[in-house]
Amino acid sequence: MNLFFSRCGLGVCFVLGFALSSVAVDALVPERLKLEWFESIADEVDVVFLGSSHVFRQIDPVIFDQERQLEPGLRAVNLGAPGMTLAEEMYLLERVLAKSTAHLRWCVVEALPAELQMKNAEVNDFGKRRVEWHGFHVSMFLLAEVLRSDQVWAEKWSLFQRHLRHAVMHFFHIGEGSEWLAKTIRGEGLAFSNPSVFGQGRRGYVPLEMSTADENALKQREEFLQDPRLLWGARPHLSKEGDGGPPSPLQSRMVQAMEEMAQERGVRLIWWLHPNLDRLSGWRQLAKAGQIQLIAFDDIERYPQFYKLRWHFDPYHLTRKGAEKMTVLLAHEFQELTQALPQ
Amino acid sequence: MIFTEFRFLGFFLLVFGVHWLLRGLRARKIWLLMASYVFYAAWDWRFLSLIMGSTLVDYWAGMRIHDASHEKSRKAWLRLSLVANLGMLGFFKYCDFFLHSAASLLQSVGFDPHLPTLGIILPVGISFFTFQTMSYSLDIYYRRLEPTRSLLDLSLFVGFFPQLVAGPIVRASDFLPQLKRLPRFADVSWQPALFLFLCGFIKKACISDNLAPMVDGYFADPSAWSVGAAWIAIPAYAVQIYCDFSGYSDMAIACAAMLGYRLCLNFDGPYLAMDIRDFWRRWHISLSTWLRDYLYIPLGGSRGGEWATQRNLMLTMLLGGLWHGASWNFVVWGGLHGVALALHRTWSKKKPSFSLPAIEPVVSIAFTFWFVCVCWILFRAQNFADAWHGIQAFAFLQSPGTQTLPLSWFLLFAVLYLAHMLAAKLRHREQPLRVPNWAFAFAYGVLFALSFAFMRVDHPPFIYFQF
Repeated sequence: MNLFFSRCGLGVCFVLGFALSSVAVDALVPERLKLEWFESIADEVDVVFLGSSHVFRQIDPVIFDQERQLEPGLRAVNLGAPGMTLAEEMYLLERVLAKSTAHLRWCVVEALPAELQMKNAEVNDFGKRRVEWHGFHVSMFLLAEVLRSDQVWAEKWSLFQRHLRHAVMHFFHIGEGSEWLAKTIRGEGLAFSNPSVFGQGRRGYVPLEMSTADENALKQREEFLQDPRLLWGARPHLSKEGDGGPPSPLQSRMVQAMEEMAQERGVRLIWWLHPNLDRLSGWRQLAKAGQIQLIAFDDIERYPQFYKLRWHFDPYHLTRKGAEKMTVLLAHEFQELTQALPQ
Repeated sequence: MIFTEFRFLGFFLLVFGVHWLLRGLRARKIWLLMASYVFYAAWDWRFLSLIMGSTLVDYWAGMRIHDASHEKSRKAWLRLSLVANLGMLGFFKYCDFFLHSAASLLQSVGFDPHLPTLGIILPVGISFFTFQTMSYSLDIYYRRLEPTRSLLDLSLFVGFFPQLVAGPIVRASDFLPQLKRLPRFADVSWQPALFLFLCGFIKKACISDNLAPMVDGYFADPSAWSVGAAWIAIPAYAVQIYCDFSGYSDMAIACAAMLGYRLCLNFDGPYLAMDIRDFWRRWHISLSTWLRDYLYIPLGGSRGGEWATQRNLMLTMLLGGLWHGASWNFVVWGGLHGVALALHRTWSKKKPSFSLPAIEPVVSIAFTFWFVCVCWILFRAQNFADAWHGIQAFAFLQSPGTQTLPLSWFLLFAVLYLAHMLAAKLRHREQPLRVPNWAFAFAYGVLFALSFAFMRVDHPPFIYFQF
């Protein structure tokens, strides 16, 4: 019995050392710059935008604030980042809510497809972000969803392993130290520390222009200008597709979890559908059922301007001018919707 | 499955748990053999047949060598074993190399031979397990070892997973007797084993893997880098390959120790070597002693006069170089070490009597390290042209390149060198360092968490897996 207790004691010592060290590393590892920035100005923010490059590149919080009734001293901020997924939005929402003050009232979240899949690369910034958003709650949620999903067991196991791997990497901060060391020696800034993500007005918005576009975006633009049929093809396509069909069980549960999370902190979520080229399933039906508040811009009859060639930088993003006009419209729709909601 | 991967940790915990739960010796050995084969099959299950085939040939040949009454038939059975093992190694490792070299040679004298390369996949660890099985037959032939009558024991000796893919090259005379007795949990020295595992993990995952991108960048085009960069990147490769290989060895020895088995020491502070002979006493000890016992000494060793000794040294080192990889770079690398060993032998005999005791060790260590680094350029460079650019920069301080590397790397090297010295000191202490168990467990937890933070997110394979 004594031996048993002595071994348990050693186990406790090991766990204690491991946990203390992990906590210390956790405190040293910075969060993504936009979250740290949000924390520093949380007292001034009443609206937060979350989403992919559709948000990051197209929603200008300065214009948004000009177009709505605003209490003095408050403002909106754009926390969008290219390639964001619904799961990443879930994690960011959790972090934003944890850092927010009572002033935060609205969170405009881009309606994105709900997926359990992830691409393989882990060494680039997208990969790093994926590790970052595998926080405890998001990981637990996704792991449970993988087990619940109706995929074949081999696929389930592979997905489960990948999410678990990311969660472990997040929890143990795997690679953070080596990246810090390498970048310190090279005299470079850490990942997520590039101040260009704030844009000119320091609101987190960077319009898509020749000067701000990266290599991929420029290539995409070139292809688009040579062959804009992708955009024109969306026209008949979107008119025919109706409401996009019912939400997937994963989508419903994710949305519900996010809504509940926000509700607990007294924040309301407004879901926003970007003028996509395809109709994303589920969102309209969720709105119809009263489960979410939705602003849908993928309505070609109502917003034909979003599908005009001259407003587009590439098939998926608007030009700066297009983005500004869209922000104005979004502000109006937002104002209308939020005023109609019971306080 | 790489030792630094989480799935290896899971695999090892399972093997470890079941191993100690099983009561019988035979059951444990069967379990370990199964685990070893699963471990190898995780790379490529098809090549399991090579390990099994090699084991069967040497099991059979070993008994025949022992039982044969005439020297002629003993030799014939030994030849069979050597032909089988070297044939397998030659086919899988050197076939394409020799075809390619023959084609180049014929082309250079005006023929156009069109010799096809076969594109043969190199089975992981083949150089290690064939050397182990050969040493078994050779030891029986030299009457240094009784053959085992247990196929299970021999299979486990060849396939034991901690050392299967990258050594240490274990001798049957060391390992087979260990399989005769039941390991006891209480006999395991847990602190040293766990500490060694963590050291190996840190060496591989935190040091070697983190140096790799810088070293790879340099060796992608050595001519583009300045002399200063060469003086950072080349020693960095020396550190990388040492930490990579000795890290694997440490983890292998530690895993075996945690299962109750003892593997031989493979590295002993090689960059503290005072001369090149000393270096080979400290670097990849299991290979250098193998080459000494089964190649250098059978060739005549130092028994046949000065010239014959130098020839034997050269041949041993050339073949040692070729063992590392099917490329002329490795042969020249071995050749350079051979020349250095021969020169050192001559120098030690004719060394002038004066000495400067205070600085001699420092100068000796620095010069040996510098020479070893020059040789590593050949080991790492993709071709002779790249190697020559590296050697020009590192040895002759000439380079057309302008790209530089931050000098802060030197600070890191200084810290690593101190750790290297400290580790060697600790290893040679008469009384092993004892720490209270609770403090050890706590420090282990702290270091483990920190090593996770400093490991790379991808898991590059061990460099020596390609050999």
